[in-house]
Amino acid sequence: MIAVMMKEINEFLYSIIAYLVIGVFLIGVSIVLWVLPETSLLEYGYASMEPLFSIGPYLFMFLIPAITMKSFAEEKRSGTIELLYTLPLTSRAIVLGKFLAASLLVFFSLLPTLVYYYSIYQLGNPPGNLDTSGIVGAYFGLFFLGSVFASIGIFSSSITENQIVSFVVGALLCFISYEGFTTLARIDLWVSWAYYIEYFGIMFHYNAMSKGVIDLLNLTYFVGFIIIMLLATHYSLEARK
Amino acid sequence: MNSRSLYQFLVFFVGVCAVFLANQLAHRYHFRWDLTEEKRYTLHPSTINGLEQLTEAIDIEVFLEGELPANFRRLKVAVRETLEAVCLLWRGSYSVSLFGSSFGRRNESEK
Repeated sequence: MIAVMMKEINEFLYSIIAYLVIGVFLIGVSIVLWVLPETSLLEYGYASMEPLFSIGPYLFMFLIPAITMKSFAEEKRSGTIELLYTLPLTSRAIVLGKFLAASLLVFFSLLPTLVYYYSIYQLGNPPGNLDTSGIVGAYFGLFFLGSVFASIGIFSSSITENQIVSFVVGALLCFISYEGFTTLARIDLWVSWAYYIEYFGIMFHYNAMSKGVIDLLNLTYFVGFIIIMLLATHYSLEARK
Repeated sequence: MNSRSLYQFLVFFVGVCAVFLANQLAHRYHFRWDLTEEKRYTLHPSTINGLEQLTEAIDIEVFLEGELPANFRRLKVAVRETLEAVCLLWRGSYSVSLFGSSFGRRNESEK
């Protein structure tokens, strides 16, 4: 598992994808936080990191499937997946290793945003007038969200041999699971079920966490979502063996 | 060959069931950890107490729409979040209608 993870990380670092994804994420976030007048903190006048946590999911939605689209699709196309199967590794370890590598990359892309935290911390009046522990909770939420998207991306990569198909399916699944359920719940037809429909969507749980409230319910949802997606990946790999 | 794929499917199915069970358990043993400095998202015990004693239907209307300055936008978000927290306690036996915000609607006809 660790060996697969290290191999994946090395692959990310030797290819341009990791740098591109982290770069695009940081550029997107800094434009929203500091430049666009609608959301810029300098215009807003309050020391908060809220824009980062509201724009983060939408950037991750496209960037994470781009990281993971290669993981199984490319191995299948080039035939190296056979080589991987001959190694003394269970397919569970392969799936888990690839997932851990992708979520580690999510973690790396979040690390540089601590610079924004420091800037906002210093810009506050008086300096340090910022809800630090709330922000820590929100970072947890964003990391969990990124991991969920990574598991979705890995699943969509395991069902096809084509990277483009994998990316499109992954981004679509991320979007549906993030926003689809909340939108669906607004339809008047099933008003009395709205809460339960919304509960299935990621947005419901992410919004709670991005405020800085850590709830056991949200944690089990995120972990459960990841487990289901990884099980589905495992199943789809085994079924094609 | 066939029993192998059946086994794989069973593993998947049992995993999904276990996840649902874990979520149900988390629902039952609810635990919340408010990390914000002023405990912004936690209602005061006396508020919860008061809410539980209310029996009649209540309509709440908030008029906070349009081009608002930053501090009013913050107020709007805070009002919505507080009302959401209150709504969670109401569990459908009360009705809330919020102008310009759609979240209260489901409670309106849930009653």
